[in-house]
Amino acid sequence: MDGDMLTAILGEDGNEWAYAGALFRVDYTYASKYLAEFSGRYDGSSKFPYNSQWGFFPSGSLAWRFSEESFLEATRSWLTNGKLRFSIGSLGNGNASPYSFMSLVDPSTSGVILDGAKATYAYVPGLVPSGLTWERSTTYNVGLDLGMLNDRLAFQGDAYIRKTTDMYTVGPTLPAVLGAGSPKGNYADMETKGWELSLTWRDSFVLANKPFSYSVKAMAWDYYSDITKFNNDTKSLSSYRVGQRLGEIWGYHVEGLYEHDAQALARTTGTKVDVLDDMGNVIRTYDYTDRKVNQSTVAKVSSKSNTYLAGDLIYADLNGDGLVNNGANTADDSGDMKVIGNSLPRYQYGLTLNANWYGFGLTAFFQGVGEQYWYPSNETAFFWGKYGRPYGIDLLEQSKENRWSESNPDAYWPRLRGYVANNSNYELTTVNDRYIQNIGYLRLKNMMIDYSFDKKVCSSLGMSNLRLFVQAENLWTWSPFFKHCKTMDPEGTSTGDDDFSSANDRGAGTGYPFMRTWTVGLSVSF
Amino acid sequence: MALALASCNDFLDCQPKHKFGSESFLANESELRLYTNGFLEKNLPSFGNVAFNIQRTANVASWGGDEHSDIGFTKTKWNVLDKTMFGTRQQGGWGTGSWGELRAINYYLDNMTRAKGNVDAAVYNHYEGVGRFWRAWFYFDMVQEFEDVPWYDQEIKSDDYTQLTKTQDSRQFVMDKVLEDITFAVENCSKAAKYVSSRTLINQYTALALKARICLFEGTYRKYHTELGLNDSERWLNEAAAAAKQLMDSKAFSLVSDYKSLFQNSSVVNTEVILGAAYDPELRKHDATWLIFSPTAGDCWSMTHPFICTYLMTNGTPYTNQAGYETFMFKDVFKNRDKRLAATVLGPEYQKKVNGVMTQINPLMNVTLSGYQMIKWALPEGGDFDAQGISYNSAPIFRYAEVLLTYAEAMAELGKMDATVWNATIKLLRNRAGVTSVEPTQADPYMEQYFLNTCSDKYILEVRRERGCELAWEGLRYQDILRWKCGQLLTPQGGWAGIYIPALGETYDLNGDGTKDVCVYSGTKPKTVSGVTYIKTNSSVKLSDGNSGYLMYGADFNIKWEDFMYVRPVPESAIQINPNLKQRSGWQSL
Repeated sequence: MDGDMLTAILGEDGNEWAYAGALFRVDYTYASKYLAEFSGRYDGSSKFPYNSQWGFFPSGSLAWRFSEESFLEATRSWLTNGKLRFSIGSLGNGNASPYSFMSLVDPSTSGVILDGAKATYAYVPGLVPSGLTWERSTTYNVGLDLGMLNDRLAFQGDAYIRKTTDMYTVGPTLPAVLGAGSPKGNYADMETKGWELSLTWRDSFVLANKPFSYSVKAMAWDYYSDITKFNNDTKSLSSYRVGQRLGEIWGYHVEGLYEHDAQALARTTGTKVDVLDDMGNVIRTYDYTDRKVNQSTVAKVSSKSNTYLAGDLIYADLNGDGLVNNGANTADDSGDMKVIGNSLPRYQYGLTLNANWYGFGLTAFFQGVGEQYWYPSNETAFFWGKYGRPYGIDLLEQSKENRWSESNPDAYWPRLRGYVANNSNYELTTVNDRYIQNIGYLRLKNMMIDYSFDKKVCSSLGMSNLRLFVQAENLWTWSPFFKHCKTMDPEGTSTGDDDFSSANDRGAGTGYPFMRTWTVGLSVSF
Repeated sequence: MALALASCNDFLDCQPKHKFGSESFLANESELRLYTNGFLEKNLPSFGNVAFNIQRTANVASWGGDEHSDIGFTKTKWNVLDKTMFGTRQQGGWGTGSWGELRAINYYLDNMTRAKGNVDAAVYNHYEGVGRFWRAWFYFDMVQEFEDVPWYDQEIKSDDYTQLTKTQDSRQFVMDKVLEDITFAVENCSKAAKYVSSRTLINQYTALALKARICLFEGTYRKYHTELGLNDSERWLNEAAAAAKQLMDSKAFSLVSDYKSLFQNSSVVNTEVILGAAYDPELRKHDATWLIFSPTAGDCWSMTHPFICTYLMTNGTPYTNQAGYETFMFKDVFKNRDKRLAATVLGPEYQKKVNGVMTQINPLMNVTLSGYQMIKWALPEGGDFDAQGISYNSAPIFRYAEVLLTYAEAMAELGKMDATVWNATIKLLRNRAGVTSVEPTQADPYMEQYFLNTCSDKYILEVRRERGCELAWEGLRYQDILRWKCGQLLTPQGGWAGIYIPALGETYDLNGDGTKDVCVYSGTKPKTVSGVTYIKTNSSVKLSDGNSGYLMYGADFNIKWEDFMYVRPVPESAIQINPNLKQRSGWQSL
């Protein structure tokens, strides 16, 4: 028994909750070849009802240092360390809101004035879940550690599957006549698959009679999660559903921009429209007979007549029903929507470089995300510019060269119209695959060059150590996102200060910007 | 170990400090009062609902109302009337926000029985009446929006799939239940001063006012919507007349002498207001004055020329009896008219505070789209309130004038209008407006044609005229048009008509002060004269006869009334979750 813990917390909002727990751990090692560990936690939380307050979360691991085996003696010359690991670990997550299983009445101050003062009122309590307990995640991990070539080359690899059960999340969608949101509860199961790799090379050689030592460490990791259980028989897209990949973004396909007013008219009315030159000769014909498409449900362009013109977006009618919409809003009938990206980061990596020679040192740390998608929200002024609020920022990226006009029909940005990225169900506000952004990036997060003076020089100056250095943070970033937006950082797309944010992520990109800092330093010790 | 865990369990028993358990709630009078305050918080129509949109309980309120009707319009098109833009997917009003209010009411009625025995029977019945008042209003709103809706009079349990997935009940069934509820409220709600004096709490008078409104709506709706095949309009009209008469006979209310003050006072406590949404310079404010005078922040609320023609002359004769009234210029339109006109529309005498001094101003032609700028809800010292969140005039929700009009209309529809009824209702309103009361001897042809020749009764037409002038822009016009079955009035083809302009390209003096104010032109802009607002014609803005005529707006709106629009569709998302709900015919899925 390692001990027990009691923790009581009083939150800022007057909520109070308490945790209690006990844990143990047993280690066993045999001949420094076979390692075993077994541990367990017994946790209790006040956030759950009396009969389901406690959860037991055991973990166990086995490891085999096969490089110590006598039958591998022959490999010792190059294999310094070899270890195979396997573990199963479970953890409890009690991150529910306090009192959420109790039916409570919350007295509040009303906005209504009654006899010269704001009235107090107490109203109907929300629905409570019929039961509530710990969310449990069990991780199955297999790993391999290798140390080779006199430890110059090191490898560490892990692959895991994490099964999250009784996930604390929103309840199934019920008819609105119920009059209340389905309470949160332990409704979903989820499976996460992931891996992590790291490879390190470190060596030194002699260069100009001085030792040159260097190391390179590369890391990469990735994971994704799928929902494996949720009560949503219709596979509605408005809540979780079995088979859903976490973070998936549903949106529409944009075929391009209308090249001519006549094309917009022909497609909107399902007719054949000729384009005439000054002499009255037909120079172009747009024939959409029996192929009328109404995209006004998701891609409006104006609040008055909503007449589509050249340079407006063409939303694809994927299912050919003449309407662009979300069908039954289910995975089986999503109308013209499809998955166009995923908002969670994939293929993350890091690279650390280190070299030292003749008192000079160089350290560089790169980090990056391979792929991550983001659709700018309706108040992201740094991305939408005048397509959002027409009195908004005039962005260089939306200059005439990049904006549609009759002489620039292949531009990225469509016909300039105000509010089309601001009002809901307008052509840019609606999530589509033309304006979704890959905010993956590669960043030189940190770099330092330093020079340590020779000991003799130091002692002649009465010092024991003298070092000069220049350090820079966020020196360089590359991202596919920069192609159309240079005013935001790929890591700065979330909502910033509370003053600018609200539930629907308005004003994304207003956070404190990433700083590029330079530091020049002198370090002296006596 | 067992001992340790037992103490742990006590340790893990955290009870909230600032909330309380619902098991024993609603068991005494103060808890009933606390809860019924919640009804006001959640359901009482706000200033915005009344002044700009539609008078419905706050959570069922749907966009629309006087600002998208025959009397007025805004710079924005109301997509509901364009069937290529609005269908079953665009309809709202069926979410947990709306139905949650019904759950709150039913939860209260289910659980307030805990108070039985703890409170006096009369007090208990009063509070039950308050709950049923709100349920009647909730379902009245839902029937106006959707006609057939599922009726629930108990809180639905989340596992009760029979109730959750049932289909709609019929209009007749639901409205009979509404009548039961509101009648219960009338019979049981108290009229003690403590419930009446604030003009905010529910009492017997508010119940009577709501009952009169509901029954007039349902009676006239059934009378004119013959397609429903319901032949009991008289029953509803009799109920409406009786409720209104009971309120009149109580002598608890009377008209205030100054019509304008009703919309500009912070206090709702006066002899005319029965229920109001109170605002206050310190506690609760809104933006109305700013919105009314701002070309960008507000919606440019404008009034229509045909409606303005319905206001009488002070001598009691129709404005439209004058020869040549069709081409009267702005300043002459306001001569010798019903005082309510200048209290509703910015006329030649209107004064607004500019730089601290009350100054006579012209309609702001960059704000009003018709030349007739709505100023009913603007504070007289306008200039001081031209900013966000500083207006504090209150909004009457039920006022005695409406009760008089309900009584007059119900009696006229029943064929029982006579001098007694006239003198007790229309005459009082006209006299307050400075208009000589003249009983009609024949139907006014202008009013007949205004209502698309759907009505030729001289009294009904006069009552409708009166109702329009008295209650313009108070959130009731849209439902009036629905119940009179005059939907076409909502979509004037060619756009809404405004002031008369004799010729394109000429500059005109609007208020007759000798300086030129406005010029409507097409093509190249004429040489600019300072102080003149230049309006260029385009696909939306025109003159009705091309080179002359009324200033028209919204010609390109592509809205067209069709009779299925009297009732809104069930939102498609609701049917996806509950396929037992039946969709209305006509509305398309876009």
